[in-house]
Amino acid sequence: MAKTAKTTAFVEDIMKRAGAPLRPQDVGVDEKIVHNSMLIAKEVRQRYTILNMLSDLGLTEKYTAIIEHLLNDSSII
Amino acid sequence: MSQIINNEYYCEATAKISADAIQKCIDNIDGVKTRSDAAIGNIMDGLIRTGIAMSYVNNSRPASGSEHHLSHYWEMMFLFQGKEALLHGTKVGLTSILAAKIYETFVHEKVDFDAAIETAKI
Repeated sequence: MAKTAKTTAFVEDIMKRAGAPLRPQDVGVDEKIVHNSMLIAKEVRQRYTILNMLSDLGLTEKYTAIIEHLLNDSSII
Repeated sequence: MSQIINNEYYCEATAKISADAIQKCIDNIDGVKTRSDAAIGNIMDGLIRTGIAMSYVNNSRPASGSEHHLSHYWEMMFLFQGKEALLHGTKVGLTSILAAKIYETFVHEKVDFDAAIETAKI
């Protein structure tokens, strides 16, 4: 994962250069939807993803807070 | 990840099809803003190739992971709320940023396995 996963900065840079929005709130996806998606998205499909891993390790809430912090910190972009 | 944890089937060759398709799009990403023929061609090419990759492994993992699951949830909420739909790519682009943040952070996570096991027993 450490070797192959792209960093947040890399993905944001790609999106920026493509002219795409960088934050959900920019297109009307509010905090509540994002918050809930972090909790519920793992149930949307049966496939095992990092969201399941977080849940299995009891880390869902911690990472939901991390994502919310990312969305609220305008200095990061 | 699932291969390690769940012994799920993982096809190296198919993964490479996806990786190469993405790289091609990334290499000409600046053309997307201007809708250049090359950039649009790369995106179309990538969509078709990952589609073929999905048919090889009979599931959508080559094109869809946690970022898509988050996007699906957003989409469902918009439907329930009667809000006008956003483009699929717009949503997945945003959730890809979130997924990157999760991976980037998780790589340094010091997991308390004992606590996790205890919680899982409940």
